[in-house]
Amino acid sequence: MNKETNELELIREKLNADIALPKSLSRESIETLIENELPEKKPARGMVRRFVASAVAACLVITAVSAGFQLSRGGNNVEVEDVQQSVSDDVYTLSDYDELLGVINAYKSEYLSYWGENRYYYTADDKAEEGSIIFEPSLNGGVAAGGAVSSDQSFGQINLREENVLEADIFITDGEYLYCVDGYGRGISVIKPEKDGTLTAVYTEYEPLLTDQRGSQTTISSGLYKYENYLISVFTRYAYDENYKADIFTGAKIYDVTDKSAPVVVREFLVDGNYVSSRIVDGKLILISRYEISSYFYTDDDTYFIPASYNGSERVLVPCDCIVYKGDTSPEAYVNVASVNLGAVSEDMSVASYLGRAGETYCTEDALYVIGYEYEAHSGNFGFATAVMIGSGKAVITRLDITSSPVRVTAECTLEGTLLNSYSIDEHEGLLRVALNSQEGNSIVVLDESLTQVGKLSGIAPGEQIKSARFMGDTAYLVTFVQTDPLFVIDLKNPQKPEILGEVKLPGFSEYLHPVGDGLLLGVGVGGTETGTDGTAKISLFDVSVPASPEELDNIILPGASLSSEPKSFCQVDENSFLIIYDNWELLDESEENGEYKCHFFSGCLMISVDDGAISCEHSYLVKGDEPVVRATFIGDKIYVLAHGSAGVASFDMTDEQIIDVWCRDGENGLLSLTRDKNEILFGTAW
Amino acid sequence: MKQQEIGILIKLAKDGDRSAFGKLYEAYAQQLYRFALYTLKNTYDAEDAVQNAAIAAFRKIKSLKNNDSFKSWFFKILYNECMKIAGEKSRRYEILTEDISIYEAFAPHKDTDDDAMSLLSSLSEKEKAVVILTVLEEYSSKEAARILGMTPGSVRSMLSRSLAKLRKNTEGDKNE
Repeated sequence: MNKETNELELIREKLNADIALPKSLSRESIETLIENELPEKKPARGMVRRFVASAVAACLVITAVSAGFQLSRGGNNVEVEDVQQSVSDDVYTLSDYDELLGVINAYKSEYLSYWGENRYYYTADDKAEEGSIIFEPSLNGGVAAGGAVSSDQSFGQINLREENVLEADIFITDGEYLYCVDGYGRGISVIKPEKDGTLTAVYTEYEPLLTDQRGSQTTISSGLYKYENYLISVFTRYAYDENYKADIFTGAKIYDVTDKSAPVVVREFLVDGNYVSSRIVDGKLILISRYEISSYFYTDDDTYFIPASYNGSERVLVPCDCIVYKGDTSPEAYVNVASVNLGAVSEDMSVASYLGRAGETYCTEDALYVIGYEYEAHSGNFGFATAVMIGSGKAVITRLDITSSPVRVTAECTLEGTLLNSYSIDEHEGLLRVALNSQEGNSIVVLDESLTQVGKLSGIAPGEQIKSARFMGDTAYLVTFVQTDPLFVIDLKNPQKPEILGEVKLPGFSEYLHPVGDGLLLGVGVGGTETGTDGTAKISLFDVSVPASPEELDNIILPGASLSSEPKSFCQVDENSFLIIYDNWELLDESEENGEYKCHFFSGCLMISVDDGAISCEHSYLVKGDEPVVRATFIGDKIYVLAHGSAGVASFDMTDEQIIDVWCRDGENGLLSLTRDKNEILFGTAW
Repeated sequence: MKQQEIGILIKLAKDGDRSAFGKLYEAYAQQLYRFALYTLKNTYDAEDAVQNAAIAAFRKIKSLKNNDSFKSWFFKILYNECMKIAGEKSRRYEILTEDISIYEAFAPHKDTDDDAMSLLSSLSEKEKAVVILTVLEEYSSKEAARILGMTPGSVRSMLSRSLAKLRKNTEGDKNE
């Protein structure tokens, strides 16, 4: 503490320099300024009010960087409140709801006359078809790999994109209990693993699948957080009316799990729209949703044109000065960013919104970046329906300051191309680096805090697709592929001029890259030949310590299998060992009863070790089941895996690889011991 | 200036008395200018920010509910002005004159101890604001949070990260 106090004293001393007050800021000058100032409208900055002796104001021309959008300012000055900071008028808010509704209603007329009553189109951000529910374990979006693991870590941690920015996942542990989302998002369970690896569900809840959904609601969890004494489920809720039309909400349900066998719901937060993503940063839960209002264009009710959160059943509109509309996008959907103070869950959530779209998200401790896509639509008439063919897209990146409450939109930009996942975007020392896919040639763009371009490298591997990206400090690693896999090493030390330092061409491609220290990268992906993929899975160890000449030191080929490239499925055990999800499958005979083919999965996880420039498959933990394993973690010397759907959770001994126990929701054995020889499964010829 | 005197001046300023407001402003002028200068790094922008803030504060003084909060309220207005200017700075300036004084105005302030500017150089505008308010002006994290529109937790963690950066800066200087 003394050292810290001294440090603060030193800083205070340095900053406490005597600074002469300029004449323009003397009391007399300020009083004169106030006398002369017109109360309604401030003069443009720097044009009138200076009292310095130079000709600066008269001779400067300030040119706004257009950044691809029109300026449509609502109010004049930002009104500074004692209590909270309102949205900066650098990004554009409307003066009142009437103005907002005017804009949307004008667009609605155009929309209805263009599309008519029969519309049939997709946008890139649509993840669920209207009326159906799709649950995917990877819906939480790409997650960057975590940093160094301490050697005394005794249980598995979520593979975080950014240190100190928590993310939800479907299978988490606090070292004592396992918390999982099963049943395709309908089930939440708390499982107690004993020291010997046996499993007991101490709590479980399940949202039943109804044959008739009319007048009911369904909640699908996308993931869980264990935060202090809270278990938090982030979800999408569908509330169906009598005509099967669903109102859709994003929410967070907060359980107090002091008693794990009897969680108590402390509060539930709801905001309009589909769940996109969430984070916990600095004691705040940030929820991001995508709220489509175009489905309400077919009604006469414009109440729902304004996004809202919910206090019980009361619909609380997002304040107008927290809604941003830049005038450059079709007002068909909002992105809502809600913030909940986990230190005081009795406080209402604060919400900020902007008209736009949301797909991928990337979050640092200070800023949230939301990536949406704008497409040029081309239409053709096919008699009864107007079909839309979507052309090449542009990525719209919106930056929000998440340290304020409510959060604030601070910048936006539009870039040519698309992002593979949230690994394709990275903030480092105040600069944002983005890797973009484009048929014409992939690119790396460097942007400053206002999302203005600082530098660009384009034309990377034209005709090839980016398969994985990883930014680490001043270096970017890109894997592209059409027939073979170049791994590019790109130098970003000079942000104005990123340049390729080296590359290595290999068969197959990596879909996920993970640093393993000492200039080594682990690549998880797909094997191949000189002409393309060959049905194998591959783990590669790259030496990138010499950027000009990266090389593959070693690899493991797994015939007929696939390895999960979902970053959250990657679990670091210690500095040199990792759990990677593996699955293979066996096709069973066509059923005589109904003609359907069935298959069994042989899946689980592999313990991969990196040692002395080589990788080895130290252990494998496999089960046979109707669904593949999607996650793995460990507590002490036991491995735990979660299978998709309701197949269940299995435990293994870390050393002897033997299955110990299985928990399955409906009591039936969804996961079984292997019936085949493990080595034959892993390394044998394709079946 | 005693709190009682401040209270009287605020009441007069609320009634439109510019001279009373001028006295209030004078009590904090040095601190306000220093905050703006450290945040924006040049005299031109710092003067603009303080002038804008003074005008805005006089215009809004009737909305000030708690006289004891006058200083932090004024800082909050100034902070917003600094952020606006910092945002506008990212736009491109085309300078159409060869008047050398323009370049001087944009140059880093020469009167300031160079140590202070280089100490803060690795921090973003927001991080500088956090350090100046908590370390120099000695606001609590709660008070600084009100000024900056953040949560106290965010202020504390941003301060901690900023101090780590400053430490690294200082150690870097020592190693040179």
